[in-house]
Amino acid sequence: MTQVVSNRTGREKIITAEGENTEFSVEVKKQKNLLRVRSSIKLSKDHNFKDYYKIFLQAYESGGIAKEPWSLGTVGDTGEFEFSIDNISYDTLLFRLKIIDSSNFVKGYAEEIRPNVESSGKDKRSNDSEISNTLLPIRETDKISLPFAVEMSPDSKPILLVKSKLNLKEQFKHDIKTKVFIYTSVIKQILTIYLSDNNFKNCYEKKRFINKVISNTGTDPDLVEIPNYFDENNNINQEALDWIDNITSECLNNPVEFKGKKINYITVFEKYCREERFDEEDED
Amino acid sequence: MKNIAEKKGLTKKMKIRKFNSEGHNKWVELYNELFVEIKRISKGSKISPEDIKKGYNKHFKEKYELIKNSNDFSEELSNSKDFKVKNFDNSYELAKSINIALSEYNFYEIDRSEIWDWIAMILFDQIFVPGKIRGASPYRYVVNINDFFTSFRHLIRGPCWAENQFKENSKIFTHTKPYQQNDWLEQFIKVSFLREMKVMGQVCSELYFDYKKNEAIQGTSKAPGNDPDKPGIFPRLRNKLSQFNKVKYLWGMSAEEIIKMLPKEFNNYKKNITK
Repeated sequence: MTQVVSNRTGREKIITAEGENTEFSVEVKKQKNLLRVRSSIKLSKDHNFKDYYKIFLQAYESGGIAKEPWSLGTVGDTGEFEFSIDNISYDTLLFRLKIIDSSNFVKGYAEEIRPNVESSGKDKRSNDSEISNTLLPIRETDKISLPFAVEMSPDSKPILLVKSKLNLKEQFKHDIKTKVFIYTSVIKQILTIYLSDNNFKNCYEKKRFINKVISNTGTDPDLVEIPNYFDENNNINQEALDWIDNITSECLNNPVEFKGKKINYITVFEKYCREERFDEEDED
Repeated sequence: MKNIAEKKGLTKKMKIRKFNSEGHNKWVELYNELFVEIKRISKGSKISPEDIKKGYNKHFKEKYELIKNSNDFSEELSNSKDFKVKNFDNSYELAKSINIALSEYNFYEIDRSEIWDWIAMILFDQIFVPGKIRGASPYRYVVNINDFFTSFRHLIRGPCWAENQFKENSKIFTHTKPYQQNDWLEQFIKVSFLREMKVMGQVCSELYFDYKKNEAIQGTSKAPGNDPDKPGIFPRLRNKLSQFNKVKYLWGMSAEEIIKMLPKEFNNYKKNITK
C-alpha cells in the first residue's frame, strides 16, 4: 500500500520521486526557442480524491516567472499530456501540481518538481546524479544582479548561479581564466559562510563540501584541523581567514582532468596571464 | 519648457521600428556617455536635477538628433500598426498606445532591447525631462533584457508589460508621468507568485487605486519605516495571499472571490470609497 502523507490542512502530497509508487512525472525537451513538456499522472486510490477534482500543472522558476497553469483534466479523467512553453529558463525550470475541489481548495499537491530531461545530444541537462561528483553544480538564472552568485541553504548543496544568456556557464566550463576567477571567489565565500554562520552548524552538506575541498588538495580530511572562525573575544580569527585562503588556493593548485588532459588550473591560469599583452592605451 | 509636439498639439503617426546593431550601439553609447557626464558634474554626490540639466548639454542634444533623424540605424517592424506619437500624460496612455501598435505580436516576440530602446529614443523628450527627473540610471532608457528586475524599470518596457498584462487595471502600476518610475510596479513585480496572475491587477486596483484622483492611494505600496506591519496595505496582501496560496487555488478565483477572502484588516480598502 502506498504511503500517503497529508498535513494539517488535509492536503495530500503527491509522490514525484522516482520509484514504484511514483504518481507524477514530467519530462522536458528543448526545441529551438520552446520547451516541450510531457507529463504523466497516475494517482493512488489511497488519497480518496473525488473523480471531479481538477488537476493543474504550473511551470515556474524559484523567485522568477510563474506561468499560467495547464489543466491536466480531472482525477477521473487524466493521463498523459503534452505542452510547450517559452520564455522560461531551461536550467531553473520547476513544476508544481495542484489537485483542487470545486471550491478551489487544494486537496493534493507537489512542489518543486524537477523535470526529467529527454536525452537529446548537447541540450541534455545535467541531472543530480551526474553533478553529484562535482564540487559545485552550476545553474543559469536571470534572477541575480551580479554575473555570478552562490545559492546556499542548510542541508542543500551550494549551487553556483551564473547569469543566463551570457554564455557564462559555457565559459566557466571551457575557459580556465573564468573558472579560476569564479572558483577563487565562490569557494572562499562558501567556506567563509560554512565556518561563520550558525545556521549551517549542523548542515550535512557542509561536511561534504569541506571534505571535498580538502580531498582535492590531496590531504586526508580527517587529518586537517579547521580553525574556529571567531576567537574567544568574538573577533574574526586571522588563522581561519588564512586557512580559507590556503585551502582554496591548494584546491585549485592540484592536477585535474580538463578536456582529456591532466592540468593544474593555477599553473595554466598564471601562464595565460603572463602571455597576455596589452597595448599602452588599454591601461585605463 | 514644452516640447514642439506639445506646443503645436501635434500627433505624429509612425510605424514602430527596432534598432539595428549599429543604431543600438550608438544609443547605448550615447546614454552611457551622458550618464558619465552627469556623474562627473555631480562630483560623486547624489545626482541633483540641476546636474542632469547641466549634463544634457548641446553636444548630447546634437548626438541625439543625429540618431533620431537617421533611418540607417533602425528598421521597421513588419507587423507594426500606426503608433500615434503625441505628448502622453502618463505611462498608461503611452503604454496603451505602444501596445496597440504592436498588437499583432505576442509580448515575448517583441520583448527585445532593440525595440524598447528604439521607442525610448523616440520618446526621449518625454521620459528624460531634465529638471523634473530624479535620478538618471541607465536602466530607465537602456534595457538589459537579461536582468530580470531592472528590465521592468525601463520607462517603456515596464509600463508596456503592465498594460499588456492587466489592461485597464494596469493604471495602478502606470498612471504616473512617463518620466517617473512607478513605485507600485516596482513593488509588485518583486512578488513572483502574483506577478503573472492577470486577476491581480484587478485585486490591487479594487483595493488600492484612487479612482477619483486616478492614482494609487498614497502609502499603500510599501510599509513605512516606522510601521513595518501597517495593516491592510500591499505587503500585507502579499503575505496573506502567500498563505492562501498554500490552501486555495488562486488562479481559479475571481478578483471578487479573492478580495472577499481577505481578513478584517483590509476592510477599509475593501470599501474603496473612491469608486
